[in-house]
Amino acid sequence: MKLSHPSTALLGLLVLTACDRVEERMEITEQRQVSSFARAAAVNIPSATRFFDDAAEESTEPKQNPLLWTTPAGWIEQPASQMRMIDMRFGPAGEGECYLSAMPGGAGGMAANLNRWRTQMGATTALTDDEISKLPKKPLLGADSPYLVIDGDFKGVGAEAAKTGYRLLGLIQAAPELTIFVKMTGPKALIEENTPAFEAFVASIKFRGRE
Amino acid sequence: MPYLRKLFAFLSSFGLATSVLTGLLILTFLGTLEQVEYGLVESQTRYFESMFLDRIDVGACWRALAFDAYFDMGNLKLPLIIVPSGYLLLAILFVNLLCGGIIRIRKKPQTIGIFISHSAILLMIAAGAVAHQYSKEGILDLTEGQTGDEFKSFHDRVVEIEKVSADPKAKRSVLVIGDHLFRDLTTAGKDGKGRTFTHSSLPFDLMLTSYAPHAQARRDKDGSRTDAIDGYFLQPLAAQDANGGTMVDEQRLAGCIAIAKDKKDGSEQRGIICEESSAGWTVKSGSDTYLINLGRRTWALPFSLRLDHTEQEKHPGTERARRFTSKVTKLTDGHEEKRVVTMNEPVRSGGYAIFQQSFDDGVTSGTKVKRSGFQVVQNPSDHWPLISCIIVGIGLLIHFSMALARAMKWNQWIAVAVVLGLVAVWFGLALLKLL
Repeated sequence: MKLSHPSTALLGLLVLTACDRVEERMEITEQRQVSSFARAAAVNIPSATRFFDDAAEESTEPKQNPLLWTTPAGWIEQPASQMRMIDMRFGPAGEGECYLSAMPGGAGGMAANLNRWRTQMGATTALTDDEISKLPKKPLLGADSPYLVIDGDFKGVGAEAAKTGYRLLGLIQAAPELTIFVKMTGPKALIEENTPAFEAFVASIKFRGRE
Repeated sequence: MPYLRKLFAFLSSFGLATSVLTGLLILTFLGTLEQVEYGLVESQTRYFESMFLDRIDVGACWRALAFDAYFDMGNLKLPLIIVPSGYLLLAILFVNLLCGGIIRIRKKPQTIGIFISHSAILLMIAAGAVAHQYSKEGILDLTEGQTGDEFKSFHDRVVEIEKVSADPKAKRSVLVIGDHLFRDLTTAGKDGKGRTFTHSSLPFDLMLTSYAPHAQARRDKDGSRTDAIDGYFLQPLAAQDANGGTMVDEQRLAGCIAIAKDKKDGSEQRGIICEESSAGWTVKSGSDTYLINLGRRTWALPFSLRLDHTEQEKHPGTERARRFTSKVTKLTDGHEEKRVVTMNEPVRSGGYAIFQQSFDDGVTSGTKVKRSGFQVVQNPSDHWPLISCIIVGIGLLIHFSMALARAMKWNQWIAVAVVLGLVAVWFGLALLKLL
């Protein structure tokens, strides 16, 4: 241990530097002069003008999206894609996922889709039509839809390995011309914490123009 | 003083040099991998511009190596406590090189080349530190006929507080809060922490909270949001471009919640301040009005620049741009000087270099207004790395020519003189070419 003392000194220096934390209350120390060429200060501008929302009935959601919804506080929106009309993440590392997708027609049927979700969670048995009819219901876009809650090891489409300790919440509304899926997955504790937010999000979904 | 001797031996040791260089190699590797998901600026800040590394996103590195095709490990982050980052490692390397390569090295004629090279490497490390601490880089956007004397940072955000004067001709000044003081105030939901900023000239304290690096103010359509302010709430957005890639820092539009708390009666005013807004947030205090803005850091130029005319040259027979040129007038204390800025031919003045960065002919954008974007760079150590490289090269030439002369049993000083003579001739020719 020839280098023990210098090493200790260096370690002490590193620890001291690491402890230099920002205070929660701080004095503003920086100031600058504003150029005479800068634009004049615009005060008392209404929020709608400040946020480019002057067209009162125009929504800030992408115009091509036929749906309107309210994103729960703390959730982060992802750009919509062809497969996911609404796509959101939540949780400390964004490990919680919630999205809405739609497919034309029956998309294989209610039972096939619910059992596909169950398979993704590691379930080895399929729900019968009778069992599906006994699932709890929640309103989605004005119609009652079966509400699936299942715990297990989640293996999404294309994933090589399953994620353990997950929970899936899912709603499917099947209509002859369109089937709508709302699905939320994530670690079980995170999903439990965000279930009220999920339910509020589902309740907020509306067709644009029918709000 | 045995302890001091041991400390000096440690600081000048090859072992320390090897450890630091290995650490820098690992940091460069990991930083480059994380850059894929986090972008250049965030990755550079975390791995090279901070003293300590707070965590490694193992999942992001794994995906950057495309190993997720075999096994998806998810979002695995490795928290770290005292792991030196690039800035600290380079500081240690500087001390190590100074102690080992300058002070401790045996001073004899045979080591003069090594001594010169080590000195030049120290200059190169110092150039990095000077550039990190003192360089400024930003954009000055001007339309034809417009004059400006300020440029805005590409990356640094600030919150600025201005007391608005009723006299439009009054000199204006703002209080500035740098983003290094509030960018850690990110939150998920409403449980985030805030930090209060105060100044003797202000009748209120300003708390900043819920900072989001990329966000947009959204209308609370059904009044269900508990965090809505004046009918709007701040929606954090994923920093992804239209193709699903990581959005570059320049394109991100930050936002946060500001709370002005009156120093006398404790009453509060809350507002959303974000980069994507047409005006700042107005705060009233008695008869005084204050404007609070979140935007890019602004620096003053020592002169003004007026954009007189823009030109776009196209490749013959095509619509493809060949060259953008801006004719400008530099104004300094009433003195006017006509200058031309064009691609790869910047205007240099007062320690600033002004490059033609972007161009809008008004047709594509539909504004019908011609505009030039000038990249403004001020770096006191701009040429130090070049000088350093030349000196390192000369040092190594001296060292190797002496070694060759010793092996060949020549007079080593004549060999050095010949090599330096050749270098001088080469420099002379280069200078002639430049002139």
